[in-house]
Amino acid sequence: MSFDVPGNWHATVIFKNYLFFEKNDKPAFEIKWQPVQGRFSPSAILKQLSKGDKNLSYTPWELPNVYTMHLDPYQPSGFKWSKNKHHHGILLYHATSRLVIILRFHCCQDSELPTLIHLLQTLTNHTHNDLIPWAIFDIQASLPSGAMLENHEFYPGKYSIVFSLDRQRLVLLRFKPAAELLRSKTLIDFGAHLAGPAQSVRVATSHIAKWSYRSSGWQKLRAFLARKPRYTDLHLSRHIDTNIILGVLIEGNKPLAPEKTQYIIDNYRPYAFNNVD
Amino acid sequence: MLTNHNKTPQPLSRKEALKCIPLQNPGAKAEKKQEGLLLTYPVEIKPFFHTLIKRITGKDTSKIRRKLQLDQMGSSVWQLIDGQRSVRDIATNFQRQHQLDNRESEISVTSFLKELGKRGLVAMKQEG
Repeated sequence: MSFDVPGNWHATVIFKNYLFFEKNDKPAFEIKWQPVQGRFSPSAILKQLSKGDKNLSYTPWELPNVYTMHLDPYQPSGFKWSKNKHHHGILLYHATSRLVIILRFHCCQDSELPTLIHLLQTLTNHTHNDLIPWAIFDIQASLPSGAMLENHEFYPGKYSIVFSLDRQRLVLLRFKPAAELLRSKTLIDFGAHLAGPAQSVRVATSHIAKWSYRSSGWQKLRAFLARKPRYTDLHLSRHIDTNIILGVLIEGNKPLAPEKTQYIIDNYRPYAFNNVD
Repeated sequence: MLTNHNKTPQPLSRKEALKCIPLQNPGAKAEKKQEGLLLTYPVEIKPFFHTLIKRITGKDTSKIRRKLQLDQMGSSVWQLIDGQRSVRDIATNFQRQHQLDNRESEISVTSFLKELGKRGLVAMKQEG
């Protein structure tokens, strides 16, 4: 799922099929997407929402034309959950992928209508594509559609976003500020603790470091008994202009296809902020 | 008037949480290492297990300590916890020290403090 939001909206809750944005420390927007089992029924979904939130009652709301004209591939239906006319939501049914997208706008003033319309205009469902674009804070990646978000951690100086892909573990890493983290060490020294048993692979440039591990013979048995991965690939790259270090760690029992690995590495990069409103 | 003392506390809003003041566990000791600070802290064991371990091993569990190796960035957040600064102040200081984005600093500092809280290394003092 991709869409444009204003720069002062911040994603504060991130799950694999749900995002929550705040503006000035107050709820601004929520989006959730889920597959539809059987026939699509807006009233059944509203019932389900009301059941989940016992304090609120979700009722149908007639969508203004200004919204519906931008929702072409979707079957839209509006809803509200409060007497406040600024609280409203939209259910979007995408028949091809049998997916429902639930949008909830919290307290959006009339002056923000262009923002909402722009969000709807740019809303794109990528779930039926082979490649899914991912972007969070200052990083972006393009991953095969089979990559499922497992968990994420945002600690001081270190982000790690974990996916499962073809029964492998794929971790996107991001470290900042690179200049400070690499003040007294090389990229190879820095990455050594992340690489585990993997050996450093010689590369031509000092801004890139690679590690690789392939277990063989008795090592495979030992890895199996210890429930440890039988292979590990780690790729780190330093981006001087954005002062960050990006890392791709792939580990599992079978190596990922080399072209798939290379595609992930090539398309994991700092986010181009000039794309943002 | 009757009051229900067992009532579960209401979760804090983000604004209220940022106003809280983190306090270091007084039993925690920090030692400077090349990678960053090495924290050694006492582990709290439930009385049942305390008695059980004492009976079996004869050891006093109150002396059990754990270690946590912080990296460079984690160490600088730990050093900013002085019992005076709020979570927001720490995030702002951390952001200035390392020239990070406001939002990034706030998110990473709060999740780090949450993790330290789970390990019993920090407690939160609510203002007012």
